[in-house]
Amino acid sequence: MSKCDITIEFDRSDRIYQGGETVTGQVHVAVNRDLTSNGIKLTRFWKTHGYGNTDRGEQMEEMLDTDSQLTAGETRTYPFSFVADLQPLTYRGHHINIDHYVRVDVDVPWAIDPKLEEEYVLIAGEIPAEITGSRDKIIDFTPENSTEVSLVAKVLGYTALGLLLAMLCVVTIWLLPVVPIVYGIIWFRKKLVVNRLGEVRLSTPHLVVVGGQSWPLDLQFTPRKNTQINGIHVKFHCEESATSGSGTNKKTRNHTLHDVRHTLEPEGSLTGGEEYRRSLPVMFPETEAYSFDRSSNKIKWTVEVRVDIPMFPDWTSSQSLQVLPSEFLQDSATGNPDDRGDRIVPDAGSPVHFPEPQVFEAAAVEETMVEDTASAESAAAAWSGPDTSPEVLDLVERIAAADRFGSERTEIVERWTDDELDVLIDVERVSSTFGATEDAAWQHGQTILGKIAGTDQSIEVMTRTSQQECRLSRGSQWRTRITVSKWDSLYDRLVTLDVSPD
Amino acid sequence: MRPGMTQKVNGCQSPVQDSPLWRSDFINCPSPSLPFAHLNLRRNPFGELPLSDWAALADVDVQECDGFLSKPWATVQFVGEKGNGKTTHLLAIRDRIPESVYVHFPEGEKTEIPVGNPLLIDEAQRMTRWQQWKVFRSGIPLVLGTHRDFTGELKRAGRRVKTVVVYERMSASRLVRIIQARIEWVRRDAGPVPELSHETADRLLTRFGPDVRRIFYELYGIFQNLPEGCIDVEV
Repeated sequence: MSKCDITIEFDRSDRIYQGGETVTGQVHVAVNRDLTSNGIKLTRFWKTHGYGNTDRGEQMEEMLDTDSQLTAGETRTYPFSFVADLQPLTYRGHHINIDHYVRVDVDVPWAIDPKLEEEYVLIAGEIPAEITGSRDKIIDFTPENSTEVSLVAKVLGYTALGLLLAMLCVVTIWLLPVVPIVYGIIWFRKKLVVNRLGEVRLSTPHLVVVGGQSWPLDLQFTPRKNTQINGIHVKFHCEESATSGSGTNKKTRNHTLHDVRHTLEPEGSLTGGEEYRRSLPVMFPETEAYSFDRSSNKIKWTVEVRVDIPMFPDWTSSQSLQVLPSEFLQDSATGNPDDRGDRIVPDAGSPVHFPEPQVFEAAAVEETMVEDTASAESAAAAWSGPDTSPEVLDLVERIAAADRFGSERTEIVERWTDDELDVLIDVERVSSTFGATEDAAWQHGQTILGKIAGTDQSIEVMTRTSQQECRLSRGSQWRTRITVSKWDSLYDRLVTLDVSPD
Repeated sequence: MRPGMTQKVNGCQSPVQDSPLWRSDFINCPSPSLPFAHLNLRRNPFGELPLSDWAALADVDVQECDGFLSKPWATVQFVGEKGNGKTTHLLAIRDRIPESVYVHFPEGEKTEIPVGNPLLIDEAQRMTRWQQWKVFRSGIPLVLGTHRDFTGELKRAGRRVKTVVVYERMSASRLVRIIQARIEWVRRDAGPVPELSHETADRLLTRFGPDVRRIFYELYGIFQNLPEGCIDVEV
């Protein structure tokens, strides 16, 4: 039996090429018996391998030789050269791998064609034409000719789909009464959340993201009622989804690559009528798992923001993102990565970094970020007014200077809980105390919100006095004696208990 | 650990390496190397294969059916649960007999029965009663892949029946052959490749039964994490 040995030799021993670079090499074909060939063909393409069915890209063919007679003992060498694809990049995952190949087929009449496939590694290089700079829309990398179905096929497809839907409607007509119930439940749930938090507006900078880039979230809402929250969280999730088989033998398996939840705001209480408006700078995880979407293999990134309300439906917003290599989003003018934000490269082992949340200035018309009011500097600046409540101001200053995420603030508060402090407050709002308090004596009283006189520092005081007895109103000034209950990190203010004599 | 000792790492009995090249290292490696080159393979052997490769790798004995199926009213039924190899047997017969036609009955979908000699029907238990009556009473030689034993119905229709319970054909030796064929199929060059012992195959059969699909999935996970140079795969 004749034997045909094919070897594919790349000019680079590591076989690593950037997108758009020229891949060069030689194909060697050796036979041990005379062999007639109808041609030697080189094909280049990418394909997936792993758990799922194989997805592959367009095959580009090139004839290395036409009809020829190969003589026993002879080795023929054919040089090849082609421009590497720009994407998808070589990827090694759990269920999904993406590789680029060069295949050589020797066409032997009336016999099984000898062939050989060799991989090369594609890394980011030139920017694909599909990337125009806009980052507000998911970029479709599916080649146009593969989606460019003829008009007749489209019409037939849509007709078939229409008929299928019509049949489905007939079959599932008995489900019709269930639909309004399901929608009713969803609507009621949404309504409940809106009644509690008001309309929540979340804006994200862009849908096309680069790993390790700052990705600030703007969150704005005005709670309609006082609301306890377990926190505000953001979760980045990335998974490979690979489907094997077809029809009823089809099975899809998912493998999570990233599932990281970060707390943007700790547990606390939101005050009804008081606007919550913040820019929360989050760092997108560093990754090599770039978004990929083909019929049987997908790498999907989602981000979910959740306002976690205890014993109540949470407010959530989930969004799909497209993650690309940073090389694909270079600023055309500078050649630097187009960050549209401060790109901060995290330390190894800490892929996500959360700087202190930045607070929007309440009165500002433009969405201009100001320094974090929780920072020591801004806290110090707030005490420039008359020193009317020196001990309270001193305490606030210490808390503001302490680490926001450690236990330092709690420890400071605990040291002060037994001290009674005099304070003068410019009253801004008086409302009934909502929810449970640590001491039942304050549970049915009032919550006074205001500023420490002569400063911009907010303070919350809970009284034991009911509405009927409390004559305070907006604009009045109230001198009282308090003990410290806790520090509200959400609004950067002291929550205190009124201990003045009745 | 002293040089020359072996360590069991991710199901592999391998010589101690100074810096084993872990699969997970690849994921965030800035310049990935060739896939599975650390095992002298081109890919994970237990991932999904194209149907053409599947038939080429079938380790089944279907020659015995050749003579039997050459006469009318003959029926060979391959009975077994999912993953036992019914489809593999049917596809192997399809490759042997050019006139044969293979049809798969998906769940909950109406499927037309084509014309073929013999006619190979996969998931035959999903045929409607009418289709069963019609097909069984035609004289065409049949090959059925089924979860249900149709011997009674077929004999009442006047057919000669040969029943093959596919899981009874599974053994540790056959499983080793199937697994090694898969590994050889994706071999990179002439060097050593991972191997599975008879004992390991025995353990896999005890744990998963004759469900080859389930065994392959288990091995897929193990091969994803095999360290460089692993030869003796243990489960």
